[in-house]
Amino acid sequence: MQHKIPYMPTNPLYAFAYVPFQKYENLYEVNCALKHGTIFKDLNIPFEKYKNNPYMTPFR
Amino acid sequence: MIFTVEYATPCNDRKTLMKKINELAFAIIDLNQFLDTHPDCQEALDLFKKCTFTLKALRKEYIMKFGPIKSTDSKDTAPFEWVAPSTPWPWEKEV
Amino acid sequence: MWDYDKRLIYPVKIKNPNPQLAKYIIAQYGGPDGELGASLRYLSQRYTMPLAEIKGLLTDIGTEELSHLEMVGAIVYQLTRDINSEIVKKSGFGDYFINHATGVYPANSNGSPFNAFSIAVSGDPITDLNEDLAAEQKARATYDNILRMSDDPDVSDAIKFLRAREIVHYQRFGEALRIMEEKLRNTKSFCDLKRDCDK
Repeated sequence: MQHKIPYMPTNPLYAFAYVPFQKYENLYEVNCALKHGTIFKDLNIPFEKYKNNPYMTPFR
Repeated sequence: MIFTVEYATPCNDRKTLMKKINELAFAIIDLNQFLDTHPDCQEALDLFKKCTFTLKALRKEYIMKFGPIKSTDSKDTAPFEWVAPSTPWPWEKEV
Repeated sequence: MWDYDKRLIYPVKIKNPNPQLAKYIIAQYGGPDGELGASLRYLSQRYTMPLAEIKGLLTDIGTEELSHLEMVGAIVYQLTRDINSEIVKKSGFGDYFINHATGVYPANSNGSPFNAFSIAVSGDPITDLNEDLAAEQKARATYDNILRMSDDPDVSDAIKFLRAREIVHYQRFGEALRIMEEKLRNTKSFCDLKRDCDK
């Protein structure tokens, strides 16, 4: 297969969207993955982190 | 990566053993999806191998002690275990 | 094709009935941003994806969404135990109850039945992957709203798990898009479009 996709492209193009390509790092213990919803610490973004952010609250 | 030793020790409590299976099976799902986009990541493949190997053993233990997880795990004695009250359906509240 | 385990992907153990909350949560069963739509979208898009990694990802995530559908159904089922006509009337669950009693019917919170209008399958890989990114955000935002409306820790616990999965899926679809874009960029016919080429 061998696609070496960089974390972010060196020459991004206009009119294309880019999400950073995850590196294999920062894992929870295997038995903790279920309670966090993922084995990857970097992908654990709880609701509390932005719940009260003025841009993310639906209440005007 | 880190693998807790507790998975290796035999377990005689149904809920605890099912919890271990749920935890491990879920880690595998998450790793599986990571591997779909990172097919050449050997580290992830190594962890995947460890997890699937351990899960096989846990499932075997569960099926032997408590009953089928897949329908094909069912014993060949009547009544058909798969639909017996002893193996409730997962949306029902736990007994 | 599928086989299944007789277990939920994540446990659902709701101690207290709450038909009003059930009415909100059914949105993730049969609503526009719900798990049924998500699963159908991914399982439908996978046929025309040109790359094996993306066919695999769509099938794997589409399958996981079915296990989420099951969880949402279980939540609704458990929330509508031990109720009577008075509770039904007072909780706003009456409109649903008339046609479905405490059955689990795929509809949104307004009662509109599930339909495929909210999913898109364009057959264009870049388009479909962007659709999938949007879909995961819509689901995540809907779970945020449910968390705002839920005062039941058992329900919130299960919902938090489902929400966490949306974020992970967004990342995976983002990676699939990167893979597709890279492949596109490295093909001769793309370079012929007089864009800057790396080679």
